[in-house]
Amino acid sequence: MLLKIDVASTVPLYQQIHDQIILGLASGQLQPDEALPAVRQLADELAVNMLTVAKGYNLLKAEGYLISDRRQGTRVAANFQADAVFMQALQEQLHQLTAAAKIRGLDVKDVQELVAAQYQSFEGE
Amino acid sequence: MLNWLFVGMTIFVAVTMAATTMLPAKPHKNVILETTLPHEQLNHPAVHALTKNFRKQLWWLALFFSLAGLPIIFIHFDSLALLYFMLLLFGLIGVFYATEVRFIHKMSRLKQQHNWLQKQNTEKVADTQLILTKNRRLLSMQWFIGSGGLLVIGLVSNLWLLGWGTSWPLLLALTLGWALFLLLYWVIAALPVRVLTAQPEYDRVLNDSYRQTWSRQMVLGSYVIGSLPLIISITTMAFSLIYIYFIIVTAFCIYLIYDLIRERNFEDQLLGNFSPQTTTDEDRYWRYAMYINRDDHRLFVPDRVGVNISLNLGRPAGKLIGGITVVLVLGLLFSVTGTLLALDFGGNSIRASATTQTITLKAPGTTTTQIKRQSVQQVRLLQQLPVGAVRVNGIGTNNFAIGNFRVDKRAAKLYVVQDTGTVLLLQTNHRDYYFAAKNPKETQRLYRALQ
Repeated sequence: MLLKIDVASTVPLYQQIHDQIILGLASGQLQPDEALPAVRQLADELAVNMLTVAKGYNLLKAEGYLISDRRQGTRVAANFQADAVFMQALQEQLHQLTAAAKIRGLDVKDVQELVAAQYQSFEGE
Repeated sequence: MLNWLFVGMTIFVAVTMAATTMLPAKPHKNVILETTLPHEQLNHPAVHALTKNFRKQLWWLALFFSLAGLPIIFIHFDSLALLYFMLLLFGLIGVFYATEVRFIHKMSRLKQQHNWLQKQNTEKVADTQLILTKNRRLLSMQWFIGSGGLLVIGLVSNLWLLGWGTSWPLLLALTLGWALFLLLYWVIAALPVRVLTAQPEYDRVLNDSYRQTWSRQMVLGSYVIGSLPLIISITTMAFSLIYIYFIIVTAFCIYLIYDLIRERNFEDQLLGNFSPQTTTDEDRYWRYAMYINRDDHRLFVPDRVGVNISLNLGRPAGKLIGGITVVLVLGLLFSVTGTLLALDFGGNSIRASATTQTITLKAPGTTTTQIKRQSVQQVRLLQQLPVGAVRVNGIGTNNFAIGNFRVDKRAAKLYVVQDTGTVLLLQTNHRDYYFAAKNPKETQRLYRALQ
C-alpha cells in the first residue's frame, strides 16, 4: 500500500501512520497476513524518528491489526474479530459522533446513508 | 610529449565540461536548470530561449579554453606547463560553474516573473511492498569480495616489491578509493524508495533500474581501482600492463557516463506520462548544484540532474567530507606542481653523495635511497637511459625520470635528468639505480668516486 503522511499536518505522525494502515486494510490495499517494513526501515524511508513509527505500530498491535515476531518481522494480522473491546470502543466513538450529528440536525436516515457511503467507498477502491 | 598531453587534456576537459554542464538544461522530471517548473511550462518559449542561450555560451567557452590551452606547447619547463595547465583548469571550472549559476539565477527569475511557483510539498509517501524488496535488483555485496581480494593481493605484493616507504601514499589512496566505492554502494542500497508515479509497477521498474545501474557502476569501479596495485606489481616484476590499464580506466569512465545518462533517459521516458503528479518543489534546498538541508538526515542524496550522488552540506559530516575532499585534491595538485618547480628551478635538486659505507641518492618527489656500497655489484656509465623504461610510479616527463620504473625487465629506481649525455647505473641484487644530475660533470665525479 501507499502510506502517506503529511509532516505539516496537526495530526501527530504516529496517528497518521496508524490511521493510514487501517484505511489501507479497509480498502484492500493492505491484505491480511501481508508483511510490513520493520520500524527502522519505515522510519528511514519516511525520514521520521524511529520512536514515531514504533508508537504507531504499537498502537496497531494493541488493537489487533498487526502482529510481530523476531522471525517473521511485522505483519498484518491474519483475521480480525469484532471482539468486546473493539465493540466498546466503536460504540463510544459512535456515541460521540451521533451526538454531534443530532445537534446539527441530521436524522437517523442521514447518518445511515453516510455510513453506507463510507462502506461503499472502501469497496470501490 | 607532456605539453601535447596537457593541450589534449585541456580540450577534453573543456568539451566534457560543456557537455556535462549542459545536462541540467535538459529537463529531468520537472526540474530544469536547478529550478522546478510546472510540467506544462517546460516547453515554454522563454524557457527554450534561455536553455538555448545557455548551451550556446557553454560551447563558446569550450572553444575559448581549448584555444587558451594551445600556448602550453611552447612552454619549455614541465613545472611551468603544469602550472599553466592547473591555472587554466581552475579558471575553466570556475567560469563554467559561474555560467551555470548565472543561468540558474535567470531561470529562477523567469519562474518568479511568470508566477510558476509550486506549492510546497509536505507529504511523504512510502510504498510498503516496494520497501520490503527495494534492493532485489541491487548487485550482491559479495562482488566486493573479489575486488577487495585483488586489492589485498596487490597491496601485499606492492609492499614486498617496492617497500613501505615507496608504496604507502599510493596504497593509502587506492584503499580509500576502494572504500569510497563500497560506501557509495551502501548509500545506494540505503536510499529510500522513490514513489515517483504512485503506480507500484512503474515505481518498481524505476527503482530496480536505478539501483541496478548504480550498484553495477560501484562494483565495476571497485574492480578498476582494486586491481591497480596488482597491475603495478606485475609491471614491476614481469611486463608492463600500465598502458592496458589506462585503456581499461578510460573505457570504464566512458561506460560510467554512458550508463548513467542512459539511466536518466530511461527514467525520463518512463516518467513522461506521470511528471505532473511527481511535482515537488525542493529548490530551496538546492543552491547552485549543492544540496543543503539540515532537516534531511541523509548524508548522500541523488542529485536532480539524475546522473550523480550529492553530498548534503547541511549536515556537519557533509561539510567535513566536502572540506577534506577539497583539501586533498588541492594538496595533491599543489604538491605535484611544487615538486616540478623544485626540479626545474631548484638548482642542484637531483644529487648524490657517497661515503665509504653508503651511496645516497636524492630528488624531489621521491624517497631518498641509501645503498650499501658492498651491495653494489656493478657500476656503469651510460650515455642515456635504456630505451623502453616503464614508469611504475613517480615522475616521467621529457626532462625528468624520477621514482620507480621498470628498465630492461628489472625493477629500477630513477633519479635522472634526461638528455644530459651521462647516466650512472648502479646494479644491486634486487634492483637497479639510475642517476643523472643536471650537470653531467657531477654524475661523472660520482662515477669516478665509486670506481
